[in-house]
Order: sequence, then C-alpha cells, then structure tokens
Amino acid sequence: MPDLSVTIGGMTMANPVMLASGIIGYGLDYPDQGVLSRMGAVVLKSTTLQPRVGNEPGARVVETPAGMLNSIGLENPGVQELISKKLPEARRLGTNLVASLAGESEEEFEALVKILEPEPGIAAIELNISCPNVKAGGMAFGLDPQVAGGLVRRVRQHTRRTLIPKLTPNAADLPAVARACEEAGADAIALINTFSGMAIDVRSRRPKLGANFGGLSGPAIKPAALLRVYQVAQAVQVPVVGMGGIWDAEDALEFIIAGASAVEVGTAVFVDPRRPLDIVHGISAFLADEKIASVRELVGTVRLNEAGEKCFP
Amino acid sequence: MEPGTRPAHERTLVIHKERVGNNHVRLLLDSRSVAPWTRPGQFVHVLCPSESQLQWMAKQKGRVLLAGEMLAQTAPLPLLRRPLSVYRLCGQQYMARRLREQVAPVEAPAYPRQCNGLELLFRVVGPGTQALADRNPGETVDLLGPLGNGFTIGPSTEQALLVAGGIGVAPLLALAQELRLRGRQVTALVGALDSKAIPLGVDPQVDRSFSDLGLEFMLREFDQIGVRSVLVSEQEHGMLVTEYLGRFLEENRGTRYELFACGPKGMLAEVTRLAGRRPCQVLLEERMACGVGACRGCVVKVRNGRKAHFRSVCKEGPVFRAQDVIWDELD
Repeated sequence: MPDLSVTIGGMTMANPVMLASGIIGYGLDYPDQGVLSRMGAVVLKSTTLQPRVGNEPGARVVETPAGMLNSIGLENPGVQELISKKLPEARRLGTNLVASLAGESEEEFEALVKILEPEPGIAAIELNISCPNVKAGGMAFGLDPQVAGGLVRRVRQHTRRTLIPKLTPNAADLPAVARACEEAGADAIALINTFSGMAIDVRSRRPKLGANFGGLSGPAIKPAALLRVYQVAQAVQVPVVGMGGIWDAEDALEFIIAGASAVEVGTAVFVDPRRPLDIVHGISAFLADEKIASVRELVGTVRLNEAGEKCFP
Repeated sequence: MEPGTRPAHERTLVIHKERVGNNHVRLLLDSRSVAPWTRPGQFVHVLCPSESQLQWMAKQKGRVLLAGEMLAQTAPLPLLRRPLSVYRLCGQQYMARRLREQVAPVEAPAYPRQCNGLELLFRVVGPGTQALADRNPGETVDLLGPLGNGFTIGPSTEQALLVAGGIGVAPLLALAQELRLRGRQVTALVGALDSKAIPLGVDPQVDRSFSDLGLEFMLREFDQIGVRSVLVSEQEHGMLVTEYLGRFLEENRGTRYELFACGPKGMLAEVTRLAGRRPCQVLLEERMACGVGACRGCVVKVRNGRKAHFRSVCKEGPVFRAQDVIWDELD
C-alpha cells in the first residue's frame, strides 16, 4: 500500500484529500458520514464573529456550463454557536477539523482566532480572505499582497495552530499575495476560492443570481485553478493546498503534480457525496501502479515541455 | 441508525416510463433505500446525465488511466442534481410501514406490487430533465433522498383542499394518496394553461353539482383514489385556479377546509391570501446545490414571530406554513 499521509504545517493527515469549506456545512448534514471520517481533513463552513443571515433570497445558486455560480454571502450561525453546538458534533467525525474564519476587518479575524484558540479539536485554521460574495471583508483581504500579509501577520501572533490563508484567483498577482502570506508566517497556502462571475437571463435581462454576481466553481474552472496552483507552488516554500473543480482522482493528481501537497474537493460533492473517497482510492491505485512509495514524492514533479519554455517563458 | 433518518444514495431501476400531457414524463422507479421512507411532500435529488454517461462514470470510479489512454472528463453534464417532488408511492415496504402505523393500505391501481415504487412526474424544461426523460425501463436513475420535510398531516377533521398550478400537481398526488389512506375527504383544484397541457388523465366531469365552469373536466389520477377534482384551464375557462378557489371558498363557506398548495410563487401568494386564517401548507421550489441543508443555496424568507428568517427550502422546507412565508419579497 502506498503511503498517502501528508503533513501541512502541524497537521498530519492520513491522505491528501480534504473537503472544502461551504460544501457540507459542519458535516452534520452530509448524507454519508462514513466518507467524512476517512478524509484527510474536513474544512468547516466559514465562521464569522456574529451570526450572518447571508445574501437575500432570489437565486443563490445557478448552474452554468460544467459549473455553478453561488452567492450565499457567508450565512453562518456565528462563532459562539460553532463552539457550543457545531464543534462538539463535528469532533465526532473522527478526522482533522479545519476551522474556516471570515472577518469584515482585521480586528474581527483577530478576535475569531483568539476565541477559538482554547477550543480543542481544531487541527488548523483556514483564513477565508477570498469570498467574492460579501460587501465588507472577504475577497478584499486577498487581492493585495500587503493587505493579505498584514492580516496574516496580525493573526499569527495569536495562534500556534497551523494557519492556512485561502486565496482568491481574482487577485492581479496571486504569487505575490502568496509570498506575502508566507513571509507573514502562514504555514501553508490554500487556493483557489471561486472566480467572480455572472449569468444573465436574456428575457428579463436580469442577472440569474439574486445578488447579481457570484463565485464560479466546478469542473469548468479546473484548468485555470491548476495553473494558479502551479504558479503559487513555484513562488512559495510552504505547502500548497490546491483546489478548483476537482472531480476525480486524475484531477487531484494533476494538482499534486503541479505542486499541491493536499487537495480540497468542493462542488463535486454536491453531485456525488462519495467523490472524495473515490479520489483517495484512485490516488492510491495510481501510486501503486506507478510504483511510487509515497504521495509526497509526487508533489510538484510536473515536467514542463522544453519546447514550451521557448515560446512561453 | 434507523434507515430513513439520513438520506440514502441509491441507483434505482426504471420500471416504467410514460410521456404524458404536453412535454411531461412519468418515471416509475424501484427504490429499495429511498421509497420506503418517503413521505408526501418530500423530494429526491436526481442525477440527470444520460444512462451511457452514468455507466461511463461508474466504470471510471477509482480507476487509473493507463499510459496512452485518452483523457476523460468524467464529471456529469449537466452537473448539478435536480430536485424533483415525489409524485406517487407504492410497494411492499411502503405498505408495511403504513400497516405498522395502523393506516389502512389502499393503493392507486396502476402499480406493480412487487417493487418499492417511487414515481416521479416532471416537465421537460432543460438539458437535465431532457436527459432524465430519455431514460427507458431497465436503465437507472441515481437518487439522493428522501429529502426535506413532507406535509404535516395531523388528525384534523377539516376537509382537505388541494390547490395545484401546472406541474405543481405532482407532489399533491402523493399527498392525496396519504390523506385518503387516513380517511380524509379530499378535493383537488388543478390549474393549467389548457386541458391538454396537464400531465394527468382528463375526463369529462361526472358530478355536475360540484362546479359551474360550463366545460367541466376531472382528473383521472385523483378520481382513482377517491378524490374529487376540478381542472381549471386558462384557455378553456378563461380563469385562473386562484379565481376559482376564491369562488369555491365563498360558495362553501360553511365547510372547514385545510389547504395544501403547490405551484408558481405568484399563485401560492394568492392562495395564501384567499386561505385567510384557514390552515394552509405550501410546497416551495428553489434552485438547489446540495439538497441537504448544507450549502444554504435555496433559502426563502419566512416569518418566525415578528422576526424574518432565511429557511432552506431543501431541509427546513420544502413545505412551509403559508402564512409564515414572506411572499412579496419572492420573485
């Protein structure tokens, strides 16, 4: 059996497959609990300091070619309910839990990290500085290297936990944002969150999403996500957690070869709750077939075409 | 954990398919894990892509591409599942549960008894429902379910009045079935663009005492289970089902009704207004991703005391107390 275990900062995972934030809530609504316990880690829905009701109804999700647009607006019950109700139940999943945090200000991020610091059973913190669907905070923290770095530096002082900022592909210079986060003390970099997007009903001429704009996910974004994971992996020394449109083991392997130490699965889980487990099995089968002892040996082993380097330096 | 407390994921067999009405399809599925636990008003989340694509996907599961093999995009298209109401239920386990609950098992006649039947009735509106409509007996349909809360059926003595708009009639058949099993008197008012567009059998009305539309139709599937029905056609009667409902409630002022409705939001808002203080449950539809309450993609605004809350249609619905729904903010 090939060795699937990987380490991201201080978090050791049995395999490199994680469930992305915002997909399964806090795990309790997931139809197949057996799948969750066998994941490398489960990233919980982003939590804010106060409860958030999210964006107004009207469509919050819209299907697009091989993908979907969403604009949920970080609906969540707030950090106190996370601690009192959600975490105790999520701990029973028996796998690494990653708390995803979202703030409207640096102070809010700081407060969230401080509040959660004494809580047991959280293996890592994902900083959501990439949500495209909120007015304040969200993606604004992830667009500029200085802003992103400043935030990471500030929360770093308050936690010993593995700190993983999750970046937005909407940033003009994503590798620069990643480097700034690394320099500020991030233990790993997760990417990508959704691409900003839009869909219009041609009869009513109104955007199909109630909030007008949203974030695009699903297989449609995979090639674009893969390039960004490759570019960031080239730019930083810390581990990269890659995601964006992963459907099967082959997709996950592409991300790993491009430089990701672990991957997250998101939209695919809406379609088939057993996808993540299938991906774990597929990675294992691939490594056995290729006679590779550990998945860690595969990370970042992409071999660029020499001819390509001549025409696209 | 007891079966039915968490949604099941099942690949079901198509037993029967029928194209009905104008662009509607009825699919009878044999479902061992979902059907026996399904209640009226609940729904299933259906994977739509063609049978051949699903088979291809199943073959790819956990498989590794051999060197030189062509790259495969195995994600299904269209991608997301489609939430579809359960139209009718039948079969051994369903009936056994009914017996345990001491509800007399009476079935609609068209069912083969040996299966765990879960029947869907849907309108073909896009590539997803089209792919599903192309399924044939012997092929499979991948379901997640049962999902959501069904209708609340109390020990009420009121007569049940079902109001449907178009394809909104689908979940009301399952409800009518259940209400009849519990011995309730049921009347169904069904609105449609015209009598040919309705996905149910349309027969001339026998009981003339009952309505005064001039050209009168009743619906076979309701008639079969002892439910009085009236088809209100915009084309033939020049009237919306809600206008008819208004008159009906006026004429039967002496009767206490409990209303159950499903259809377009505008219609449901009007039904709610007409229902006044009568008990009234509405089944809402919304675009969904997860279907299990996790992604918060399908919320509607619902009153809770003096406060408004967002409630997910998939998990906290799809049935709501009509008077709690904040209609003016729905499109």
